[in-house]
Amino acid sequence: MNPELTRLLWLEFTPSRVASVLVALFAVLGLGWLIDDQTIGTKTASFALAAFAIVTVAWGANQVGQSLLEEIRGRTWDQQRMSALSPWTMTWGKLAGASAMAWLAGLIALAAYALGGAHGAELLWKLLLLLSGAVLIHGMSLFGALLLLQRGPAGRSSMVLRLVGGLVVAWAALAFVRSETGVVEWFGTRYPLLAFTASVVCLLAAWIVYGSERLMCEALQLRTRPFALLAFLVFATGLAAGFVVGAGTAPATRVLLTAACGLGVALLTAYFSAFALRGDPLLPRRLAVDARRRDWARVGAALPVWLVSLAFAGVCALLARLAFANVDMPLPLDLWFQAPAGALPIFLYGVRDLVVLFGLGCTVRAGRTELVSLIYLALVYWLLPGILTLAGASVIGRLVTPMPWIRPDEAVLILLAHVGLAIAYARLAYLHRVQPLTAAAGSRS
Amino acid sequence: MRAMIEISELTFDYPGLRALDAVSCRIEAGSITALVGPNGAGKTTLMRCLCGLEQPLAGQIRVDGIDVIAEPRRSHERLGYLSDFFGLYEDLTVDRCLRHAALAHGLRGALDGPVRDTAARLGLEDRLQQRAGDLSRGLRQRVAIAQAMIHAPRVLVLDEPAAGLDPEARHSLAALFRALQATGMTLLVSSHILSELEQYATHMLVLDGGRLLEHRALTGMTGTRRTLSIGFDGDGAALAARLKAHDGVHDLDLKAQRALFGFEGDDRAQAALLRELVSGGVEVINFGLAASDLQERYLATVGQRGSPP
Repeated sequence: MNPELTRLLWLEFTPSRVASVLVALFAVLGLGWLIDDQTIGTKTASFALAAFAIVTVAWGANQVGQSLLEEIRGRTWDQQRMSALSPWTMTWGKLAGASAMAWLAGLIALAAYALGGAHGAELLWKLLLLLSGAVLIHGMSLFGALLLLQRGPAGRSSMVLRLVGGLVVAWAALAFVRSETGVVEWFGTRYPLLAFTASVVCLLAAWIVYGSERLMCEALQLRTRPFALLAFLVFATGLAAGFVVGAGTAPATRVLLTAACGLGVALLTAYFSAFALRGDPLLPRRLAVDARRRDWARVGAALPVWLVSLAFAGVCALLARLAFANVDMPLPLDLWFQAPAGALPIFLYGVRDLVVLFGLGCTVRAGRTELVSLIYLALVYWLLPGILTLAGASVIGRLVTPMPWIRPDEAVLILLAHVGLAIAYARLAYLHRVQPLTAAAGSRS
Repeated sequence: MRAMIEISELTFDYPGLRALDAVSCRIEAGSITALVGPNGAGKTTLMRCLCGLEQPLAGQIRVDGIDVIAEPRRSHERLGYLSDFFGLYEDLTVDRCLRHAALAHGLRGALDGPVRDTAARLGLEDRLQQRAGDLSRGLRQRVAIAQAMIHAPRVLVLDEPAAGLDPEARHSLAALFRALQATGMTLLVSSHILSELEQYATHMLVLDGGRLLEHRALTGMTGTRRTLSIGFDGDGAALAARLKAHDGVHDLDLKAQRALFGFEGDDRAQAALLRELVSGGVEVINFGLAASDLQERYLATVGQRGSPP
């Protein structure tokens, strides 16, 4: 048996905990049964669903995240990292073990829901959605805890945030489960919304668990290569493109729209990772040392998510630009007509910002980087354009924030200059903070 | 003597700070190496790199022939590590803490034997059903060491293991380390309490400013390799010339009327060396295994920089 699962079961399944959870659960279900005229009907099913949301989704997610954060607070994480457990064993051990009690209560609640709720295929899809949704939220909690682990000691607010976040998502999903009967069109084919959503949530749950395993690899100092990230970007691009590519869309337009979706997905991932993942000011030096030794496996492992995502975004931007020339106008929506024209400038905006964020990561004290990065983004996308517009300085405004789809070629030239300045700043920041080496003293001994 | 740990050109950077600067050394199997140096010398970083807990910028580490950087999980089968700020699963009993450590290190089958044996070795037999959170500092230290060694690692790395312990607990810890060494285990121990390290260390590794300043045997406790001391009267240069010409003599340190040097050879070779010196006219006042005198060596190596340990 998985040792991590065993340890968490020892902690979770104490007689007092089992008794108190079961008493509370059956009290809730019993109340529903009484309100439902002493039958297991729709009201009992609603109570069961609420119990599932609170106990399994929200509380379970909190338990999963805590199972990792407690290791940091209790200083037992090094012991785990020194074990022979594989990242996968550790990941599913924590996911299943920490939420075992929540799942016990949740499965009882789902049984009550099944007896009083929907029937047939609809019930099966709803059960699949609820189960995979819970796994998705638990996976997100573990993923978030692993991100916090990268960034240092977790704050006290994290438990409240997880509980509130879990509850919000759970209630949104429940509202959907109880009401939704529509259809969705994806790549021109119409699917029942419930079945489609359940399938997508299933896939997303698998991705978040896999992503947690990848982060666990990094936490255990195991090399990971960026193939999993690239596979996820392809998946997310395909998922998003399905909503904008119709059955009758011409091949060139399909490429254009898919590339535009890929650009958006990759830039979102790059910005998210720049904020959520730990920055490594030593990155250029690591890459240089490994490249000099021709250790390409280590180079691949050292590549940060934002850089890989940017590379993917660059390929998509080029594809979009090339496909744009071959597309017969107009496209289905004005936005989709205009956006691909600005693919390259949008990509360059991303490059500029992420290089600046790397530079800020070198200079700003750890813990304040996010705030300073947000101030930077607010400054360049909101404050400066606003001030220049109010001042009537439209020419300077075009130099500061060129519009990607009004004069794309001009925007490319201006943004290339921005990127050059950003690289110069990042280089200076790197040389100032990271490059000058002093002998070890006064840090961790 | 076979090297259990081989470190080659190990370099580790923090932003703006080189914590380890091309550190290279070989640690013999079955030795107890005292890792000493002032605060900020790089001791903890070196230990964490050795255990695969940190990724160095460059260099290689091999433990029992396994590349730690490339295969950290595999190397953990051979390694046990006690962090300077360790923790225990407070809500588990000592028995369950040890069982979990055994399972996590890949032990399978009946665990009663390893758990009982390890507990007995650390004097924890009568504490097995107690919650780890209820134990005293000294007992918690023992449980943590028991967890680190339950899988019978070849190498045990301990960062400040005696910190916060009372003199009695320290003494029993020293006895435990000697007992582990007697089973063939290799130990790397960092501490600021040099008198405590002196009780069991066979070698000393001095780090300062991320650089390896010295690595040498302290006593004749490792096979045929030993450190000898000669007190003499007369010309030191003549003695030095004779010693340097003799096979097996290395690392000669000549000060006033005392010579300290490493010597490769058994008791007969040592006796032959003494005969040769006396017959060669050296006025030997005393001759024998050097007392380890860790404090003196440490200060001689690092103390010149004015950094207290």
